[in-house]
Amino acid sequence: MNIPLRWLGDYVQLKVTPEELARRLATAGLAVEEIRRFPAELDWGNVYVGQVVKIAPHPDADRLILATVDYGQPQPLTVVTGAPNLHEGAKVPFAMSGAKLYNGHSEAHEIAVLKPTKMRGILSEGMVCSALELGISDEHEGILLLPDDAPIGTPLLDYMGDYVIDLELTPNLGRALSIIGAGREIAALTWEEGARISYPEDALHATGPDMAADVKVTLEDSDLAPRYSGLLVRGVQVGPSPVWMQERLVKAGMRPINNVVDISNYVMLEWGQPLHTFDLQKCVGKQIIVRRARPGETIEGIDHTIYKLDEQMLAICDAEKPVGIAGVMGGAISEIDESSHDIFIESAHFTPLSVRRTARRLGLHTEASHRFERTVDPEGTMRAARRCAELLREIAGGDVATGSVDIYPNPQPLKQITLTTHEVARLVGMQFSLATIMELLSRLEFGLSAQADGSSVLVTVPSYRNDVNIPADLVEEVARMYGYDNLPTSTLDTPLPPEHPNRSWEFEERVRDIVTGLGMDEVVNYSLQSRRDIDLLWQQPDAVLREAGGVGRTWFPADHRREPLRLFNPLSSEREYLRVSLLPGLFHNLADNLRHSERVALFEIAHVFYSNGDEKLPAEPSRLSGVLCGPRAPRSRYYPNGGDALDYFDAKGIVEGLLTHLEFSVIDFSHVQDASGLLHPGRSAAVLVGGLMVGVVAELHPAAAEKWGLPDPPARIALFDLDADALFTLTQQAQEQKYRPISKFPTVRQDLALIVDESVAAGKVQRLIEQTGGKNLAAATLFDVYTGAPIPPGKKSLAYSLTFQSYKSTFSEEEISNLRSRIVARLGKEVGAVLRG
Amino acid sequence: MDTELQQVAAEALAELESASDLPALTRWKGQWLGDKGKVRALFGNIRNLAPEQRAGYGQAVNALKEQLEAALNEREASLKAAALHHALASDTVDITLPGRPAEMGHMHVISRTIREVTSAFVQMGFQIWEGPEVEVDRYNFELLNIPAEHPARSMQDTFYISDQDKSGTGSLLLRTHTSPNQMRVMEQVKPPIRVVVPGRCYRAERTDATHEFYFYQMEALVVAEKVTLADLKGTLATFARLVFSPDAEVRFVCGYFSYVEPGVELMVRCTLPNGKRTNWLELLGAGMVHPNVLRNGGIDPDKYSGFAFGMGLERVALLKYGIDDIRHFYANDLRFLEQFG
Repeated sequence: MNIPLRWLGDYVQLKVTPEELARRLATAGLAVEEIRRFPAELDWGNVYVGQVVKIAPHPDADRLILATVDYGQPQPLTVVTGAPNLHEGAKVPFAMSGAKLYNGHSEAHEIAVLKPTKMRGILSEGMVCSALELGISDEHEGILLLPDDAPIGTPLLDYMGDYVIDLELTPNLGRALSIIGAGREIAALTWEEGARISYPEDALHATGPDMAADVKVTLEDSDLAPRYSGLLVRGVQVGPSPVWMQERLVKAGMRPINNVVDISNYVMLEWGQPLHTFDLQKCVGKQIIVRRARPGETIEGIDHTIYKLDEQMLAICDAEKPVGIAGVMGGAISEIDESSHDIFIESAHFTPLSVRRTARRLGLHTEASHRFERTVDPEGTMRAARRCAELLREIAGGDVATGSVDIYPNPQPLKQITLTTHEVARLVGMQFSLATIMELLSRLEFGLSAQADGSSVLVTVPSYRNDVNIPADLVEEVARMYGYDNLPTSTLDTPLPPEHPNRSWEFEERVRDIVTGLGMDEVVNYSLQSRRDIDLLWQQPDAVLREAGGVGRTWFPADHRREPLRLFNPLSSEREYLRVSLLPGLFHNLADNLRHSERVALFEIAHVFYSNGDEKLPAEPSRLSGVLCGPRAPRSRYYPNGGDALDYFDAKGIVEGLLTHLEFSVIDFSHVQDASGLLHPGRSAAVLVGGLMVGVVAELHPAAAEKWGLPDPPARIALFDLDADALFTLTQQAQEQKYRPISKFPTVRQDLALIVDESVAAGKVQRLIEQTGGKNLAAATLFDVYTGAPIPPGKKSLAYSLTFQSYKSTFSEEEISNLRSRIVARLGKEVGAVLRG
Repeated sequence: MDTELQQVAAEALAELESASDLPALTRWKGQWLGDKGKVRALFGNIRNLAPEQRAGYGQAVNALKEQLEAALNEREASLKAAALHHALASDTVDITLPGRPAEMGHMHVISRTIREVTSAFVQMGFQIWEGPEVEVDRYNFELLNIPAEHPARSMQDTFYISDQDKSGTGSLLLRTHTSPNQMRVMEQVKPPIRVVVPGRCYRAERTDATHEFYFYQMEALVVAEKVTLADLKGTLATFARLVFSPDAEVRFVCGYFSYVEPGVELMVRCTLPNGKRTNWLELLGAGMVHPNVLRNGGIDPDKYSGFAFGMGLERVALLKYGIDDIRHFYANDLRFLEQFG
């Protein structure tokens, strides 16, 4: 809503600077988008109010004239102009040399500095200006004619310069969608400076024959139009509206059309009541019927679009058809044009819900619908209609019919609310006296009647305050009039609730710390992904990972492979589905970052989504996924070649590090077969904690990498994808006790080198060593894997560092030798291992 | 006889002085203080003396022995110090060479912000709750005093999940704010309530430097007897000092959200790490919980009062770190991510 301050001045004297006013408005909840100077870009320096005192023909040019202009100086100046609308005595904006103006022959708003120029041999000593040249509007046909009472010689900036406060109003502030409505707030906010609202005179000179003879109005659906008022003005002369009105409309952001339309818009801006003017001649049967549209009815709007109406939409109809969409837009058929004479002014109260629904269904948003949606003052219809009729009489030469239409079957009584000093104190935290409360509310025109108990007041709510319905609403009025910044500040001293630990939150925070500590960067991706992302991931929707042993385990838990959730109204196909996996986002992040970074190691912990059977809300399980690519370490003097490429073992190391820090003791990795085509067949493993599969760690299949736009071999892309919910649940279950006392007895370290078939899994050998060593084997670390001479073909050598330690005594050489022999014997029996000689 | 011992001492000390390394010291020690050394030999002279002279002589030789031992220790310490000094001198590095890289990842700036903000509220006795990202219309709007066709709905463009009845209050949508959790918390616990609920939210809006369709909010809800607007002001002022800077200032202006009354908007101004004072930035909408909302949550609004707010967490980070474009957050460019610990 644009509030031109000169216009505002008709109702409220401005007592503070525009900037201070903007600050107070914002503090009181009327956010100020901006304060615009008018004119916006030009400064109107060297431009004055002038009067054409003499017009003479140009001696050498038929289409030019010489106009002598008095601009308040002893010597009038002569200008050469081609303007068609000048006459002697006309008041005009007169620009002297040096004035900065827009080029009147271009709509591009180029600024030019005015210089004296010779036109066909005669020096033009200045210029009379069009609205376009002054930046008032885009009107460039003819000179802007000023009102006859414009004072000659006054700088134009003093005469017409202005500020416009642009308010960005929240939906509760429908009442401020008018100059008077905002004026009421402004008066209240500058009350202490003495500002008061004064309303325009409500005078109507109705002298014509009664309107009932010419128009019959029927309100059929008063549930959608609780009040329908109207007046008739006959004999209107349609033409341009006066300059002052055009100027005000332009400053308020509306385009002048003709005097009838401009007047109805003017009154709407003044009072906030949308009006519609019908050309009565065009209404068949001289009837106005307010009713729901009938099936199949259509209407051509004044925007010349055909709208299909439905039976829930309220239409303004003549005897045959709709001529307007109630509260939204008029119809082309009844539109005012040059030939219109008899004007029916509609001033109605339509229900917000109905107007909003209709406007949304039709894809329309108009000045009228915007106001009706936010509720207009039901008591203001007649006053606005009278104002409109009187202006039509004064400006457009109309003859106002006596009589009126005002159908208002169920007048609403004004709301009354009892407010107590206790309620104000209870919500605000400050004790106000009843007198202070009443004084603050009186600034906003609330009716007040102090009650006998001395601590409460019966408040009568003005009809334009649809937003005030309960005591808390009045508390806000008191608080904002007092100033939120002036209210006290205190610390909560209410009782603390019983504890409510959020272990899964703590778990996620812990995971973040561990995984960043392991050298990975956290990303946060949109929860929305494209169909292509999902299809690439689910090329084989039934892809199942199988442990080599045979127990089937799905790549994604079965539920995750249901049809993903799709948005009804996505912003783009890139963000159309709720994500089913974190991996696509990570793959995109990886591709993006590899354009400028060598080593990329990213993880994300977040929800994925899938429908949840009969449950209303979908499941939102939490996943933890990561991708790694590039050299293990950045190139440096310590790693002159940048370290080896990150691979499966880096991803596995991170998963192991995470699981160890989460204090899981039984961690296992088992072979999987992946039918999805996503994983490298020789470098992928199921991750098991306590025998339960919690995810996978793998390298990306090179063929899949290509589809995701990721680098080809020899580059490797390692990944992990874990079920964070399962991990969390496991952390909450009983674990083997982690703590073991530290042995007082010395450790003995020995190396053990074995030769086994190449097909024997190191993990199995490790398990056998640990099982056999029991608690006397403190650690067994594989430190070398070797194939090649002198190891026979098909065999490999595994070398372990064994640490023995007893809790009972210092080991003797014999005890260690026995233990070691048992290990070797067990390995020989189970996996055919022999000691390396 | 004293003269003789003095000569011995002078001779020994002179030799000690010329011993320039530890092996020479060992040799000197054997020669003078060893079992077959010269001082031992002097003790052997005792039996050649008259009995009355023996005690005096013995003491003098002992004194000589102690003198030489002390000199040896001193000389040894000084030679060791010199040797160490020499060794360290050759073990000097160019201390300006880069350190050995220790790879440490970075937490996403929004995760870090959430942690900082929630910690501030945990300090003030708040519990951390969570709620679903996919919501039902009823929780996201209806129960929060935003019925269908209410103009307040146009403040929050909504993503709906397809195949649902869009008009009904049961339709599924992506939550447009964390406020549905006000209801979800009130359904589960009775006052006193003091919770924060962080999480992702979605609005069907075009993205620009200050708007994302995807963002994080943190809801706060406090309900108890005698919770006031003054408490809300105090809580947010404390939050601003804890999270932004000790001299952070807050301003409260009237704001409109249909689920609170009175409604408040919080503006914050703080000092950046570089010492610059920021402009006032609109940080969040807040207010006293609307009586209808309390009633919908099964709480008697005449007995209890409460406040609530929904804080835009990206805005906290924008202000705190002076980030100029919200689109950096979810582009996940390492050159951005690595700027934050």
